[in-house]
Amino acid sequence: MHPAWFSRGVRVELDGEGLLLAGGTASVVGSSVVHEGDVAEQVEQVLDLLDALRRAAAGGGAARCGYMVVYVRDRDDVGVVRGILDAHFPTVPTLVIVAPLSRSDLLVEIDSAAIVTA
Amino acid sequence: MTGLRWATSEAEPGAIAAALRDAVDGASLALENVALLQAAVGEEGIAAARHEIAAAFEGEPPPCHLVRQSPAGGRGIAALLWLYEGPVVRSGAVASIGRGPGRLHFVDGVSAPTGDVGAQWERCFGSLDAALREAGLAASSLVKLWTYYGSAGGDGHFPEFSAYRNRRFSRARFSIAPDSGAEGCPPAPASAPGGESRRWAPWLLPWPRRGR
Repeated sequence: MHPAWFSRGVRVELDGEGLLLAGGTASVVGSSVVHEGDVAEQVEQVLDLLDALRRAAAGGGAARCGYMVVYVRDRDDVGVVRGILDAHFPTVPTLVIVAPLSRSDLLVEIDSAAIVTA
Repeated sequence: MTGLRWATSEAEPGAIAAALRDAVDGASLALENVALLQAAVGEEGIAAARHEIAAAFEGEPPPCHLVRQSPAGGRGIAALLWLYEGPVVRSGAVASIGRGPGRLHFVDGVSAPTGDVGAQWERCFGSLDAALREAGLAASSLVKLWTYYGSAGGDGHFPEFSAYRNRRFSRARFSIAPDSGAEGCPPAPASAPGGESRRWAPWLLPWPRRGR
């Protein structure tokens, strides 16, 4: 059986602009979870991954994050997560939801989309 | 410009409809511009939230993607609205935006409320297949899929998910997000077809081109 293989993001052309649909992104590099136990570092790692994805999709053009849905495992971490997101993306519509995640060592996962222009 | 925008809304039970209207007003758009509504609903229950959402849209809500998870505030709902400045064409559980090959289609969430894990995946993907066929579109044009696992969730679901995904959508370029599995994952919403469910899979289906 093949494993499930997931693209990290898909760029869809829509009326002259690109819509980047990112997959749910967590603090995973390669196939390994990084920054175990540190929610702040995990958020920063996820934001780095999403930024890299947007830059790749934009191909040298501009990329504007449209929204983020942020899944946080532990309610006690919500304040820290919100603080980091507000610092980086003060005007982006963002939802923070307390939810279980697919791996026990993941503390946060972010789903987002962006408008990208060449 | 694509004209695609987003707005968020958080509301207590009983105030959901008003909050959604406020969110749309805040974007200087109308309820008719909402192409998709994604929301996390707390302990008050998805059935009540759905009722309020339907009331907000005067009985004609957009495709909805509701999950029973906790808004950070712990109560009510936290909603994300996909807004389109152009015309949103709604037909049943599908909403379409854009023109020509760049159209996106959003499909209402579906679920598989009963049976073993394999049967539930079979039903979910069967519903997805049917929606695609009805729209005259190929599985390979699927670009985004949100999948939520129920209380039996966790990494253990991936082999079965992979089997169905690979068989049905081996050419799809989709991404999956997020995997809310593992222990403690809440049951499916009361609004799921057939009632309570242990696992379920609502999706968004934008597909950029026809017939491949």
